[in-house]
Amino acid sequence: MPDPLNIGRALHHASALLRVHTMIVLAFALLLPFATGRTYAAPAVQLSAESLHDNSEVPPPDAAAWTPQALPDNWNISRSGIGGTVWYRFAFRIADPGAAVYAIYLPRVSMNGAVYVNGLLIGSGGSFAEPVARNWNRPLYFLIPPGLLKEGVNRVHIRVRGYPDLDGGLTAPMIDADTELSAEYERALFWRIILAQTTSLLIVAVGTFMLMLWARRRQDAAFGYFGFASLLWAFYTADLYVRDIPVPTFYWELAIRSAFHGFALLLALFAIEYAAGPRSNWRRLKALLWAMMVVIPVTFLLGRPESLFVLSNFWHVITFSAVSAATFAALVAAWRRRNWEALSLIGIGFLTIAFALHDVLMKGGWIADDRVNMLMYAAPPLFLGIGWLLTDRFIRTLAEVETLNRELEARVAEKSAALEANYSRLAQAEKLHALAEERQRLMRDMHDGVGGQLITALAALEGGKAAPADVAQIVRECIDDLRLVIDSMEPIDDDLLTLLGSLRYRLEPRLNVAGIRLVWQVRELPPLPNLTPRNVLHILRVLQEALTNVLKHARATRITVTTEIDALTHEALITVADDGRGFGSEAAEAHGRNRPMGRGLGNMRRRAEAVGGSFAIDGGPQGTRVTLGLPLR
Amino acid sequence: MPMIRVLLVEDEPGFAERFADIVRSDAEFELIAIAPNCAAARKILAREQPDILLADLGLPDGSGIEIIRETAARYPECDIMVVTVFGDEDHVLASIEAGAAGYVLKDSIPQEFLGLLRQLRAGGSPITPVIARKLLTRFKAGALPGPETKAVAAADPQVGVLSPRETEVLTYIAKGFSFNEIAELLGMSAHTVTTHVKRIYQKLAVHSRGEAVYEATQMGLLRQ
Repeated sequence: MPDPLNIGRALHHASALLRVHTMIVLAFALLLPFATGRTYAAPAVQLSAESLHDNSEVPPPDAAAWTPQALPDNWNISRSGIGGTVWYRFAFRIADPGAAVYAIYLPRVSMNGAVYVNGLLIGSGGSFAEPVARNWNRPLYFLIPPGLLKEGVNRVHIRVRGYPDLDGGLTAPMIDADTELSAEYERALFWRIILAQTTSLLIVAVGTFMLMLWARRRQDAAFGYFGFASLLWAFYTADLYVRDIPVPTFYWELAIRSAFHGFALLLALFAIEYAAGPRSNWRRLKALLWAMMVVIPVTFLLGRPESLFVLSNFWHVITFSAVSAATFAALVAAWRRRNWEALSLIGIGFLTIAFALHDVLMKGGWIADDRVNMLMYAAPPLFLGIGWLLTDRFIRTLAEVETLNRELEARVAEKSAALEANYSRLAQAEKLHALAEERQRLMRDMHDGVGGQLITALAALEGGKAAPADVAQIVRECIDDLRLVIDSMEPIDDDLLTLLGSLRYRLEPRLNVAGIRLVWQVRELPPLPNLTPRNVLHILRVLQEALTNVLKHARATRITVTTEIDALTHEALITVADDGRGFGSEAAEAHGRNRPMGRGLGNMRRRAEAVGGSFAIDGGPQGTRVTLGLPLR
Repeated sequence: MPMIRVLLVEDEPGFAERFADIVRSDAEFELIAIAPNCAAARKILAREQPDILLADLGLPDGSGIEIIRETAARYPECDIMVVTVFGDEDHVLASIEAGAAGYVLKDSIPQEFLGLLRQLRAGGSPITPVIARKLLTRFKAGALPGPETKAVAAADPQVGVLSPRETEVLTYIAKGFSFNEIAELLGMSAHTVTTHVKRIYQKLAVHSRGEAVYEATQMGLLRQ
């Protein structure tokens, strides 16, 4: 078990901290009554004690060299450097041994004790051989078997086994009726043992949680330091209630002390990390703390049991100094960063030091013994405080992430809204462009067709030379052309045949009246490329011109409309063939270049070229054949 | 043989005069009246049942489609046709849904007019390639837009779906073939082709009624 006595001495030497330490003592005095509760007032039996250093396993004879002994007997003071077995004996009187069941209560015996009443063993703390049962913090309580006590003088022997300079000793036992004494024992048991066990469990839980956080976020070293410090502290405090140890006492002491130093050093590292941040500059101090964590257990091991006490004292001073330096560094860093959380954490650290101080003073005999080990109760405020701060930081980080996410979402929404606006502007512009193009096309179409024809009709009417039938013809051509413009805008799923059919549907009655029979020999055409309204209009105008030419000039009796695929030229061929007198011969074309019909043929050729197609006209006495070729690709 | 009684609903006097001349030139027809607007048309229709109703669509006090729908409901025997300058197909399709059998262009030559009127009276349905194409698209895509049409279709499986023969007839019409040519190609009589077209028109009417009910339900106009 650590020896906080030396921390106390070091404190005395550290004069700079004296005032702080006084304040802590004062604060501690205020806290103490809450921890210890009521004091057992008046033992029923007054004892006078004698002691004898004797390794006997049974009570030494009365004739041995017993010497009077004041209680409490602290071996560190009364038998410095001496260990082994010391026997104590007491004599007491009882008037009426049958009046109650009596018990004997040993508030404190270190390391182990056994009780004999009138020469008979009535209870033992456990093994007296290595490893000796550890009862140094455990209150012992034994019932005295009825019938063992005699009326008048009775004798009690207590066997105490201790180690040199390891807080061996005995406080005054109490003998009273069980009903009077048991409550006192149970309170001590609760404060020293049960509470310590509970606290250990709590701290193991907190530490494990922090380690799990750290395992997922290695960059947050503070969580790791704190988690390991917690586990070391839990192990260190196990010494308060573990009675039977699996290894010899020396190794147990070594482990416990190393755990204490490890805990203190890790907590110092935590304080620096927490107060100064991960990129802090206290490299050398941190390296020193890490080195000590390795060096201290090694020196204990090399030092053998004989040097444990000296080494322990030495390392307590060093660790205390290092931890003080680290705490001071943390304080400076926290102040520089105005990190109020870290400052409050360091405040809790001082409370821990205060609690440790109590134990120091108690063990040193400056305040009454037989109290609880207060350092143990520094754990709840310290660990809960740190746990709360770390959890708070964790939660704050989560909240920050959430806020960040919300901001990101908002920004993404903003961007996509901007994109959408951009897109709709583009779409709008495109639409306007398309509208403008369509308007231009319609203007051109009107100008090419209806406009010119109406002017012709107007001129004919104004000149008064026109026969009504001619004007009617011109106006009808106007209407026909308007229909073509409308048809060309019809979405027809790239099926040119539907538009050819439309043309037929409109013109056939006129052909029939003229005595011309129409033979419809169309075949399915594959979807043609570039069937834009403009190109469709060109195609329809070519075909309408071909049909009306037959109607006007050919004196035919039959027109055959054919569609087919020319595999050689990769063209869809649309043919209008008649059996008339041949209006479209080369000669006629050449001869009539400036006449309406010749102009009509020129227009047809021009339109065919405009759609990327071919135009052919050949004829003879048997009739005329107009062929429009449209590219398949 | 009784004369075929024709009612024209037309607000444009020029065409009305031309049409009157054409009808009068044939003793088979009698023009009972020319109504210049919906109100006048309704007044006449309340009094008399024409054999043929010819209606312009854009009338000063409403749409000719309303008159077509009312007449189709009141006089199922009456043949109805739309007169139009350009035959813009969407309006014509709406008229067919309302009960018209087809359309005639206002600049048609007299022979064409009289031929169409006779064809109509003989039970024919003038149909243009573009309308046929639209009907094909409509029946293919459309098929059954909602539960109402499905219910109608369940009652009569033929409704809402074209038979393969009807699809074939419609496809030939869309490619510009005449009824006679189609009859020859499919090995049936011209009369049968006409019957198929009529049946298609009926399906379209039911189809659009189903759609109307469906849409009305969607809009909350009808409670089920």
